[in-house]
Amino acid sequence: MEIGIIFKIAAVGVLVSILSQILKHSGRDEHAFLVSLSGLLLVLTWIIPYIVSLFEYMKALFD
Amino acid sequence: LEIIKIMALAVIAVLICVYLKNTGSPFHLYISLSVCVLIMLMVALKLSSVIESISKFTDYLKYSGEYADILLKTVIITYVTSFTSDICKDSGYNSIANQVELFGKITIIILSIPVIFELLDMTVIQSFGCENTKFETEYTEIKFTEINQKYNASKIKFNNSTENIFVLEFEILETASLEDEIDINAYDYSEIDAQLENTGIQNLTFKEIITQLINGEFLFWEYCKSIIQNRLSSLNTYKTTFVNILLLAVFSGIFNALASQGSRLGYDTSRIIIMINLVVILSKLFTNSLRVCSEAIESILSIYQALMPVFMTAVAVITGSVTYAAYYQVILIGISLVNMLFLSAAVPLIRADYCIAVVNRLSSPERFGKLVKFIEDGVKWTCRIIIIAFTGMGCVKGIMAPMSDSFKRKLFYKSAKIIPGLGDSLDVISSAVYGSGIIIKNGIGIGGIILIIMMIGAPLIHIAVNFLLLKLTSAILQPMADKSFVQLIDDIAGIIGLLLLLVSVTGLLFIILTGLICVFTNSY
Repeated sequence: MEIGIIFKIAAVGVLVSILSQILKHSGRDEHAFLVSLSGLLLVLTWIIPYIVSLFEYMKALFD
Repeated sequence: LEIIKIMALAVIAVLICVYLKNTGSPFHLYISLSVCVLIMLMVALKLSSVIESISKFTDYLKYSGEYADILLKTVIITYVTSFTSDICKDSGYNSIANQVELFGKITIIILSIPVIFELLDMTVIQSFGCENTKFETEYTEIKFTEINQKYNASKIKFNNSTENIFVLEFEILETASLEDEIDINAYDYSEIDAQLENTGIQNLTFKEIITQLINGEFLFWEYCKSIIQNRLSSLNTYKTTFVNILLLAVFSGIFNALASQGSRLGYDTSRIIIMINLVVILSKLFTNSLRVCSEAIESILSIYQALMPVFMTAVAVITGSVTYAAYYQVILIGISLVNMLFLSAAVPLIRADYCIAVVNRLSSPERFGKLVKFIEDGVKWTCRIIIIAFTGMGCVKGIMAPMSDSFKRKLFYKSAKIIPGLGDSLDVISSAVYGSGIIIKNGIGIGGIILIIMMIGAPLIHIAVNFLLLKLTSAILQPMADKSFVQLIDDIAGIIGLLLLLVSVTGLLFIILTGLICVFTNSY
């Protein structure tokens, strides 16, 4: 089962939020932004295949 | 134990989401999204097995192949729509969610448009006969002109036959034989036999029936048995209809449960599609019964028109021209009354009633219930009134007309008695001739009654079986099916009951009329 993805996302989320907090406090706002952006992209690369497969499955159900 | 997995997944996801939401990062949205996708994937997996079993199921259902397809699509669309719009709402974008729902609704409506057209085809065009109305009015006109022609033709026949009667009488007097056969042969049955063959009763002639009747050999039960056996052989079609409706009810249960999840619209659509499916089955049953009913009425009318000249000649032999004319008028009025009231008014009215009943049950709050009931009551009351009118006509004419006739008759015999050398023997012979004349007249009359019973037997059984079938189905389905589903079946059963009433009343009318004429012309 792909339940692991939830934990992965959660881990990424926690890490990104901690990192961006630290970076913001040390005054590197642009780095904080980059970190959160990369986290977002990482999560999206995991999620999007699932969404695609879901909609393909639905499409198959229609036929 | 997938269910526990899913539950655990959902709970864990919610816990993580709550934590992430508090830290202020946008990642809780991704988590909820991915959980939704995961669960939806599981649902889709399950759904595919459901769809497989349903498609197996639809193989048993005769008429619902395309409908099941549309229904499945509706279900999937409602699921996808609600999934997407929920995610949008979670992210706080209500307007996008609304647009998604709107699009889903429109897609469902577009999907169900062909079904709605099918419904129109089934009920309005087929039942009202939009394309056929012209044809039908022409048809009834033809019927009326036909009757008029027959009337004129038999008028001529009457003039001929009054001459014939006296020739016949003297022939009988001359031969003075008490054998009935001669007398039976004196009438022309060819037209009745032609009608008989038209309506599908072969290898049986009217003369046979009468001879058998007069000789007391008529095996009525044999004929009835053959008719019933004929009908029972088509029992299989009834069975398939019955099973179809039952399966459809089960089907509707499954689909209503599936579709009610998504939205109100999905539920309504699935309900209406199931109902339309039912309407398709029912309207096959209904149009079949309607056709059988009108054919039965028409065949009774035509057989009566063919029988009338013979019967009336027999009556004329016994009574005389005045009574003949009176009864002729009565029967003619009767035939055109039945033709006008039943074939041209009641049958189209019942068709309209059927359509209204269908629309009534399709609209979710009942709208035309009173109208349906009103038309039903109207037809029932018309039947009652017509029975009373017929009995009245038969009786009154029977009492009024014979006076002058019997007087003439007695005069004829008294004057005949005066002839020297013939007087006494003529008395004996004339009473004998009268006796046999009455027997033959009654034989023809009862033969006509039996013919009507035979003609009416098959359609009556057919419609009655349809009626009972629907009643039984609605009774069985009441605990498990949708309320409007059961009520629609019940309504249509009531309307088919009206057809049953029409056919039996038509038969009864002519049986009463013939019986009355037989009884009232016996006392000469």
